Amino acid sequence: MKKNINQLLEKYWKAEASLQDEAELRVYFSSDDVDPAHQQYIELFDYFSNARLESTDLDVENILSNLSNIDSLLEKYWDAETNLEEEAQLKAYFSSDQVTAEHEQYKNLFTYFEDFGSLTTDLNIETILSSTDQIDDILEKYWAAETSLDEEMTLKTYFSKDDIDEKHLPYQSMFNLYEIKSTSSTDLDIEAILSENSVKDEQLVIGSRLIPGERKTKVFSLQKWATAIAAVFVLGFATISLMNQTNTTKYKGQATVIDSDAEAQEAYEITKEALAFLSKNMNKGSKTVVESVSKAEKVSIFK
Amino acid sequence: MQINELIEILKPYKNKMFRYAYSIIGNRFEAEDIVQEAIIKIWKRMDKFSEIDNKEAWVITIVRNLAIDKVRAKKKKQTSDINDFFHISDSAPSPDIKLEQKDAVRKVAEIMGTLQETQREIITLRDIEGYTYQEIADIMELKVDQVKVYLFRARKILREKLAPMRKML
Repeated sequence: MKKNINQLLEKYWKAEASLQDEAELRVYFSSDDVDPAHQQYIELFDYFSNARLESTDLDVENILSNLSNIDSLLEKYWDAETNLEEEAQLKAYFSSDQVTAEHEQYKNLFTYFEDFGSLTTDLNIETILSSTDQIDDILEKYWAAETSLDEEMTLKTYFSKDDIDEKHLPYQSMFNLYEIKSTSSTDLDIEAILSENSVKDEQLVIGSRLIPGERKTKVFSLQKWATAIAAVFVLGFATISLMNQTNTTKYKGQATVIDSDAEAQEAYEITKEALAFLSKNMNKGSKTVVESVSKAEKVSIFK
Repeated sequence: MQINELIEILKPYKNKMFRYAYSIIGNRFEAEDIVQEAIIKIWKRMDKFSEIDNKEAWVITIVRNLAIDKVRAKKKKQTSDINDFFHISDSAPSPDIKLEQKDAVRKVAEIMGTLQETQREIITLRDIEGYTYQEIADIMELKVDQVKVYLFRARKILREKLAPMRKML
């Protein structure tokens, strides 16, 4: 017996044992007569024997009928005759590991459906609705000139949309106009303008400070112009008064002429004082004023 | 209806609204714009909202109308400005970056892109969102029979175009 087992074991290790030989070995190792020289192999053959007893709950019939069912479900699916429950079965089948080769080409379609169906967005409904709700509040603040730049930007963004609340429509064109104005541009060339208006050092305005070698632009003195205009008005007034006086004396005699001369002299003095006052207070226009005064004196000579 | 009630009603539909807009417009950011516009539109009609029986279908219809308007505007622009042509995708969107890496699923997305707009919409509503034929009919303003015909044709195209993929697997 031992010799026979040894031979069978040798064949077994060399993978030359037949199924009958292996069955004999399993019977031997499961018996109580195992020779001490073979004891170390008992567990191995026990393991094989036990493993052979393992079973499964798989129902072949069920699997085959399921596959057949999948086929018929698929046919119904392509014909748009499946209900939602049947489509759910198909989805479950195609997301499992049991998809057979013949159905493999449709797996990606159902994977696509499943993955697309799990797409989400981070949009926050509260934020969207609260910002819409806030437009009225911000508008109220806007009319009261109390909005911040951010709030005004919110209004501009809101009014730039096509779909705004009907009650806000009257204001839309106004905000759109702001937007247009803020983005409108000009072809004016600042560089060209500046270079055209610039003058050389020797043309600088009197009194302005000069950094050697720099070019400066012309400065229009408001004070100077104001003085000149005031002087012209005063001179005009004085001239008209004097001419009136001259015409009057032709008809009213010498005494009147004397009175008129005195009044003209008085007017002249007043004018002179006024011009002197202006000249005193407006240093930059002094030259112009002095010239004006000189002209006034010439007028008095003609009298 | 208070605004908080509206928020609670809309929350479960948010992602459906987004996916549906995405399936029509084919661009994630534009789809989100559409959802925002839809939410504002619903808010403006909040007083009527409580009277509507199937709120979900109504919400999805609003998304659909806005998305279609946008697609039409884009197509109009497409014909007027050839430079913008390549910004408009003809294919259905691939769900996400992970999937875009999967050639096979991208291929499915391309096949979906070959479907007519109505067919693709119906496939999306049925196979992705799981709406009943009646709900789809309500959303798309079609008859149930018409929905089934569109779905039948769409699935037929999918089946025919997917069959050759077996050889590649």
